[in-house]
Amino acid sequence: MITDPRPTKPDSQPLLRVRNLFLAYAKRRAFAAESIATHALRGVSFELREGETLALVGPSGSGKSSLARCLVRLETPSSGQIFLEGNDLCRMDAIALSSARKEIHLIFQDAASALNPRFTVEEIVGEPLVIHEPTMGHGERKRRVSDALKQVELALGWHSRRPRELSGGQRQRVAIARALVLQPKLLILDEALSSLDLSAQSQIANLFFDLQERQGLAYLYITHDLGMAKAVAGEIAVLEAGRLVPQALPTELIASNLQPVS
Amino acid sequence: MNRTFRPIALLVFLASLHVALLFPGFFAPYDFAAQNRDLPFAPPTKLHFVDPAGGFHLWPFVHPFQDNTDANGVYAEDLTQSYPLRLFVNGDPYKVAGLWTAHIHLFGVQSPGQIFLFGTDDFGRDELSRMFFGGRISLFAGILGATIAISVGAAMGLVAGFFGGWRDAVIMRVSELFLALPWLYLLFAVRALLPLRVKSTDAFLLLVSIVGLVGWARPARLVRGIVLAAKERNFVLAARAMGASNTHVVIYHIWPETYGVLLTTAALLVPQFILAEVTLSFLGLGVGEPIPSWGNLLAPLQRYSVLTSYWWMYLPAVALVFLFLAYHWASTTLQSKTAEVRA
Amino acid sequence: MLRVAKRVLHGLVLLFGVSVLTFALLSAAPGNLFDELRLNPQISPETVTALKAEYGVDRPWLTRYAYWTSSAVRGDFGYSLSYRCAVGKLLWPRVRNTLLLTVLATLLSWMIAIPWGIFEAMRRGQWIDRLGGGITATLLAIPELVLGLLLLLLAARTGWFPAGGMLSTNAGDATVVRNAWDLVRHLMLPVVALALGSAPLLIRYVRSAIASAMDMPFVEIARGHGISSWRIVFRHALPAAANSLISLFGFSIGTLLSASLLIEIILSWPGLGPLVLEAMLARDTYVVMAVVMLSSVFLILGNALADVLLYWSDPRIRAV
Repeated sequence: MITDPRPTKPDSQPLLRVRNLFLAYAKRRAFAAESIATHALRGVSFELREGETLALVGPSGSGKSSLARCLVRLETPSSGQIFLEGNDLCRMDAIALSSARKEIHLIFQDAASALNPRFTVEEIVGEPLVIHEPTMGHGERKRRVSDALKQVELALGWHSRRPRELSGGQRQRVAIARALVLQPKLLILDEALSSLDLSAQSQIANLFFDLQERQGLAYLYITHDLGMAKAVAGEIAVLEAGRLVPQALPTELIASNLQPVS
Repeated sequence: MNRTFRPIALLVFLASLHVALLFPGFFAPYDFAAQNRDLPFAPPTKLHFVDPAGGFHLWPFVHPFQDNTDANGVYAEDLTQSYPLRLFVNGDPYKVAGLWTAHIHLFGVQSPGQIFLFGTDDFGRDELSRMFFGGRISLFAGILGATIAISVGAAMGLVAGFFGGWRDAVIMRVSELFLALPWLYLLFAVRALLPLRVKSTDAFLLLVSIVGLVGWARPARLVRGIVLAAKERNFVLAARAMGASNTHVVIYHIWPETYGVLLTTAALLVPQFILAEVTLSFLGLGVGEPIPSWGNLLAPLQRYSVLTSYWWMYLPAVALVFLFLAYHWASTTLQSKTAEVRA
Repeated sequence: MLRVAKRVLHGLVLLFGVSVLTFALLSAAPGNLFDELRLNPQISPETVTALKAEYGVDRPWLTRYAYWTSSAVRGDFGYSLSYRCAVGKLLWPRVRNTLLLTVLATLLSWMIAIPWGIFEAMRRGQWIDRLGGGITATLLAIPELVLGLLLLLLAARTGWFPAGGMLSTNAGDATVVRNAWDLVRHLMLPVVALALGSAPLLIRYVRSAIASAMDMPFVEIARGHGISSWRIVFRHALPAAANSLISLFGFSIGTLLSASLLIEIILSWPGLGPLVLEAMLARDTYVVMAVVMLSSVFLILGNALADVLLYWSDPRIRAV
């Protein structure tokens, strides 16, 4: 449980509330009698409010990526609940899930692989619209794409480029534009800054701040880099072997000299 | 020579060959069944520019063969008569696309003159005309067969690779079965499904289906491999995270990955299937008289006399070799091009 | 050991599937031998009926298949109705003839392909490599059919080789030595035809296997040490390329019974090819069945052999 000394708005519910999330994989060796269960998440619970940033820090293998995947329903949790604006994602039917997906978006670590190299920038950013609003007209879609690209400060004229013509930072911008086009409330950043060079990192981090101010986006920032987490997040939670370690405020965290996070 | 010039010239050549063979009636001077019983195994007609009196003509002309062949069956030209070559002549009727009847041929000579640029066979039928019509049959048997094999194979490979599980296991086992049978024997076995004496017009379609059904296994495995790899790509995961349905993922992300493989497979399969049709027809199991195919055009060569005396009967074989060379070059060019794109 | 056993089991299952498939296909063929036989005035209708009953042609498919399988595993492949003798008796001399041809042709192919492939790989990019590449491409484009006919023409025109057949007609009364020589003379044409047909592809594979082995870093290093080209090829590149070559060899074994089908028919070599063609035309199901099954056995064995050889020769695979 995260105890936060800051005053909370008393009558607003959190944007995202995760309760007791368990995720286990069963691995069975051929002809073996039993299967070995690997627990990726063991009872994770936390909250995130609108417009806020929560950083989830942990070593590799701690379950960070599994958590991210559960939140976008790429994986199905073994038990537990994920409340998005009060509705449990794990118990939604297909239609409700589809509209819920517009509110959450996942940004991958490696933008190059997350973008289809055969698509143009316009097609990439427009894909969520093709998926969720198939009846939208061509012109309208183009307009929304341009808006999104403007928001990520990608200059005009990039529409018909392909990912391989872009730099790492630009690719990540395209991925963010793709995330923004449906006007979500929550972005999950799975190591979104880790593969960029230093200058691109600061640029993109600034972009994230701007977007948060302008649009009230909430971020769940998943990383192994404690320093980076401290720089961008208001709250930090530490994940270790599938469990959240009892949390402290950032400064206490550094002071208590935790075991090195890889 | 410019790097890109050669492949383009090649593709243009291949394409125009295919188009020409779509309209054999026009390009061939005679109907494929038109017999001239008095002229069996006549050698190719020579085109002359100089007449017997020594005069030079700008436009070529031909001499007809004399009515009596001498004791050895050797044909001599009757120098007293000559017929100039003419373009766009009226000749035997033929059907275009099975619908319209037309009479115009690209070239010919006025009757009673005859022009056999590739000689005649044992019924006195013009080999060149038969090669055009036969080429259409053989070529399109190959193409249609390859299309069937690739379509079925791609569909199977997609299902097996995308869904995995029992579907994958079943499809893979069945494909192994088809691959475990030596292809020529399998072809025979499948051919044996059909009555021996099949109507010639049906024979073509039947042949194509057989050949196609036999060949689905290898394309299926190739496509399955591509689909398996594509399924795990991050951009597919990203699409799923955005809520994309299976259909969306397959159509927009997975299917385009298969284009390269399908194209190169097609370039390899078409010649194989053409060869399958030619082989079957050669052995008498494919397209039968009077419909020509390059296979049954070569069948008379099994007779000793034809093998050794009538060289023009080999011409369909020469055409086959050129066709295969062209396809081979096309496929190597395609392979290097798709390798570039991927890199 | 477990791995080998699994492979064998896999092969047996495959064989079973193949037999079912073939039998089903053949049984589905409309028209059968008995209709042809009935037209033959020398055979009385009673005999035909009796034969029909004995071979259970009227019984359902599954029964016939069970009947066939149970006798096949005992070595009895049924009865050929057009040749009027046991299929087995018909098969073995033909198998022997075909194997004679294909084994020799395979050996010849490999003997041509390995040196030539190595040579081309060593002279990569030079004019002789390109010339060789052109020749193999042209040979590849020539279908076996045409190759066979051309060689037949060569034989007919020059008289250097007998034009087809296996033994001359007066073979019976000559001495053993003369018969052997006669056999060799008759062998030459089909063996050359087969070898010319399969060698180009082999040459290609050998060349590319050696070439990619030579591209590997450890070869560059060896070259840097000043080791001579030949030594590099034989002691370093060839073992590395051996993997793909060995599986290729296994596949060669697999096609021993099927590769020569067409050539045998064209050059009148009395092997399985002409047999299966005639049987097909005469609707002699059991003969076709037996031949197809035998060829499949070889194919499956060849693949399994390729797998096993690979496993045995490459320590990396064993470690997995």
